[in-house]
Amino acid sequence: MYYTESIRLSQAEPLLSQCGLKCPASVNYTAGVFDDAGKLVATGSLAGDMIQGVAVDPSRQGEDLTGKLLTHLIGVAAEKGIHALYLFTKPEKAVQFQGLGFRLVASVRPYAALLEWGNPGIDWYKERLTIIRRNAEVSYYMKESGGRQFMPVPGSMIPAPRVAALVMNCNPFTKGHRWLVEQAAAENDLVYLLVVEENKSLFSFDDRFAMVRRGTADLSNVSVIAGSRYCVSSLTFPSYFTKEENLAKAQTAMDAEIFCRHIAPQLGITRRYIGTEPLSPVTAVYNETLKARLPKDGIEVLEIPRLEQDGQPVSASRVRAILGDSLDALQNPSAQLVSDLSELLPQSTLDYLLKEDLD
Amino acid sequence: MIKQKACAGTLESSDIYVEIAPAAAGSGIKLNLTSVVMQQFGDQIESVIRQTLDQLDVKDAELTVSDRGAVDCTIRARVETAVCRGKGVE
Repeated sequence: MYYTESIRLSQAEPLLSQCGLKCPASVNYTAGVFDDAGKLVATGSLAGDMIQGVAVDPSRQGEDLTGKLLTHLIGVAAEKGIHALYLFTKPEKAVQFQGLGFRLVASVRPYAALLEWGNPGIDWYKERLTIIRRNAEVSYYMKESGGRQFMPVPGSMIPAPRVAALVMNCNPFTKGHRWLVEQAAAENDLVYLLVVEENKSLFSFDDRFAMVRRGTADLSNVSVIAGSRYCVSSLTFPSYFTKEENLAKAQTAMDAEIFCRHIAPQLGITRRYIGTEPLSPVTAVYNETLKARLPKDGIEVLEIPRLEQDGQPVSASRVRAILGDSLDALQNPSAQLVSDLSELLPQSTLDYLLKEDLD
Repeated sequence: MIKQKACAGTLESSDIYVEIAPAAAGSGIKLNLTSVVMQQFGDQIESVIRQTLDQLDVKDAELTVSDRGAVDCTIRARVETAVCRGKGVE
């Protein structure tokens, strides 16, 4: 018989290294499965909603210890109110977890496969995208037909819309972002702007989302969408937030795969706009990956040169530098600060930063 | 009436893991079933789950079920336990 209990991560270390695994970081719960003799035979950890460091003693494989371990971890997560869990594994091992009821989100050989458990999952997000798409397409057909039709009609002269997407963090929303969105909005019938949802930036997601909505409110063919965990998040692309370049290749491949497999088909996207990236090496790797992967699914990648001012790109990182990477400067802003910011920010963002309570 | 999220069972072989969540009145039973023997027994597993819910007078609920080859009596037992926990019955 076996029993499962909470252990310290350090207790799991020998078993992890025996299985050739690194000790996972920022873990908040570790479980161990023990045999009758009190020997640790399987381990797994939770880091928020990520299942990490799953290892089974090689001499005990085939005894279904993974099922026992994951049942325990799912139960512990549920007690903490976490009902959606994610797990990375090697692509060839994905089928083992699928057998336990995990759903495969995407697999990128040779790097990794992403699986998920529980709700809300990718299907729930895709249902939401469907609703957004329907609304956007109704507006398009109504406008093009002068109010005579709200959907494609056989024999009608109205072509299917050209649909583009942008994925942006907008930390905060600058004139550079605005310029990029304007290009996409002018060259396409419908534009979906996915705002990175991860709360790891200077400005919270709610603030960034509000700034993007206000900054694009006059562009009637642009829909602003929450990026969810499936679009440049610590799930699909953790090194975007840690700036670890060597991991970026594998992670950008996962992000691009999820975009091609789930998001683009759901919204009917055939073009993706990206800004040239002279400053951040991680984003540069991301752009290269997108340019290599997306065309395989018939999605054109358009790289737009950054808007420049005085020979320097208008970027959110310059705005953050002016603010000294802190929101405190906005409490009692000097006239000089406001003037410096207004060079880089559209009026909508400036108003938001000076008048709204920021998270 | 299902009042809260609840689960029963395990992911181990020959068992079934049942998660139940409340749903709006009139929305019916939404069942998301995966099984290693989906091809052979998927319909039968579903009908056992639905019958058990019916007997327990559960009209509206969302279920996520992961089966690893459980026999009918196990399926019934796990569904019943999940329902009791979901109703807050001790």
